[in-house]
Amino acid sequence: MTAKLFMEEILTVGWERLCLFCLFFSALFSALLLFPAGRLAAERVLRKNRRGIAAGLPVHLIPAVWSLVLLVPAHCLFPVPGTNESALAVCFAALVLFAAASSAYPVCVRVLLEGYARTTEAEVETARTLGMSDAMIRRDLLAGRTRGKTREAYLLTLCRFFAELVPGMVAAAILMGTDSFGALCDLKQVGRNAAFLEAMLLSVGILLAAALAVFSAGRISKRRKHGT
Amino acid sequence: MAPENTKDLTIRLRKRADGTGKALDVDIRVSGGNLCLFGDADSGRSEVLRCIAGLDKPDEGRIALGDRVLFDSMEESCLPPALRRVGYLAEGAGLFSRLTVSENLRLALSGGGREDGSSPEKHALKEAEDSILRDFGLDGLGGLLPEHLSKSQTVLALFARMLAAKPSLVLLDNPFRDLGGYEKADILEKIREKLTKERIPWIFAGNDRDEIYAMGDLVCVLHEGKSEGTKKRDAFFQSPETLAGAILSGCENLAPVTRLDAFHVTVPDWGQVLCFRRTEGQAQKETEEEKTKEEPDPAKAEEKSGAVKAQEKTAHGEAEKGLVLRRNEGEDIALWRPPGERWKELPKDIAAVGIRAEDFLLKEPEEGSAYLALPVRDRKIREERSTLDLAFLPGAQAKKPLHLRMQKSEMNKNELNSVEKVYISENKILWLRD
Repeated sequence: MTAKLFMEEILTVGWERLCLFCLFFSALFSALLLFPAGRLAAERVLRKNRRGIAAGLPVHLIPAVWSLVLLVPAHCLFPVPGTNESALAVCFAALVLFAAASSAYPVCVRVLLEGYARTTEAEVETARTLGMSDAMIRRDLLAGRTRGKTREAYLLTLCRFFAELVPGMVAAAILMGTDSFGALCDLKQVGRNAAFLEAMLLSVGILLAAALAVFSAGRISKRRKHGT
Repeated sequence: MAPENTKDLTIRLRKRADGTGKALDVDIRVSGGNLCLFGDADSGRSEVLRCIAGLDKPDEGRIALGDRVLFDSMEESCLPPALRRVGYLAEGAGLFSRLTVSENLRLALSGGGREDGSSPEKHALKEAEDSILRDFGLDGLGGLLPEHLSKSQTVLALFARMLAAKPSLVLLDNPFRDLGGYEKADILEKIREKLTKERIPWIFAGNDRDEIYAMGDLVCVLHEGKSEGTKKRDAFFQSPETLAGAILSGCENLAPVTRLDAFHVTVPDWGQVLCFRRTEGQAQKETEEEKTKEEPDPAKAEEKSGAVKAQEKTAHGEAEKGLVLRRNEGEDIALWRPPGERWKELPKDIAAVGIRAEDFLLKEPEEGSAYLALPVRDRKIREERSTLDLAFLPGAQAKKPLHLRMQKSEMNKNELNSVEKVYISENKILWLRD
């Protein structure tokens, strides 16, 4: 029922307006993506304190924080009355998720690649002290990785990447979902104080997102500590 | 493979600090015996081992194992790690994680077994691999991935892999850190036996006293990237010469001193002004060491001896047998000097004194030995599993307590509670440089 309602509302918004909306937010996200402060801070923390819980936090907080930051302009810039609001919120949620993924991507990839590269270097050093020449290392150790078992390693790396990304995306989705739900409540005039309900739901969403971010950060820092 | 002289080891290297490592200034020359680099995690021990293994390049120096020069900055020679035949077990190292134990061994066997890097026959490889697995008690584990091994099995497999490459020297960087108690002692013994049997010299780096004692004939303390001289193991543990060495060797009672003159130091932490003179035996030992460095000058020696005698007469002339060396609030701390004994001046660079907790005596030593008597104030007794620890202030002005340790089998708590004075033989006091 809700999905049907959303679909109807998306259609009533009009594609032209939707495209404009998407373009505007794409530009906004690109600008934010280029804005280096957040990412640099995250990377610095990651480099200096790989083992602390702080190491995992920035990666997952970035999408959540962005979602929050973008909720406000969304409401201010597009005060679409009545029926269109929840549809816009759905589009907006999709865009936020995209932005979240984009923001987390470079940091995650760098961390994963660095970890992978470090392991390889240590193993190559060990191989050298075992008397293996560079040619032997390439043939027996490194080349071996790209065949058979190494495919597993790549797959594992890819899975880990998504695993690291997912909590951030879920956090953003929770935030946007609660906002959308609030908008729907507004639309349907559910309860006598819809604004209060929306605020409450949003708070719950923020708490859930924060808890999820902290949990996943702890999990990642633990995993890093064990060097896996 | 031609036999080679692996007894003499020269490690002389300097390296500036860079992004990854500490600055190093190391000079170690060993002729026979296995060496332990004793230092904490920041001492630069891993960096030294990495330089020996060829993984890092020093700025200058020389590293030679017998007749083989591994690195020489003057000759601009630097052997690559693969040709050094130096096995290196880095701290926290692991097996190649995606390969089974057997595959790990096979790589080492095919790499290190032959100078030209060609692969040995398959059946020969298999035989060698089985034999190594048997030797290290890893039979039946060859097909397992490293993640399925226990910690002790991993350590054994790492050693097995390292020895499979037939090294001429083995470098061990704190390899037992993940092992506990009995497990560690067992594996340590196994490894030592194996290396001794194969006649492979080793350099062990770590910060655990028991491990150092078990693994080394010679000990070299590394402190902030600098080597502080090499001593025989027992001599080091009995009389470390530096503050860092004393801390590492487990000396509990350490205090900085200020040298007042040739025979007196103040020890503010213990509220003492102490007078110490090393006895003839010690002086003689040191003189012999010095003789190798410089020719003795008889005129100077006579002059020095005269000066000492003069000082003795003026400062301590009143006591012929027991010299009163310190007066503090009416208490005398006496250092008894056997008549006619020749004493030597305190070293100029003395920075601290140390007394080991187990070196205190509760009874006055017999005549004929020099000793220091200390009063016991503000005592606190702590009971441990097999020992009693007495913490006390050696005087009213003392700021820091001294610790005395007794075996429970030797004394009970009540007896220790009634002790009024403790004694320390003069030759048990450690004179420490910075």
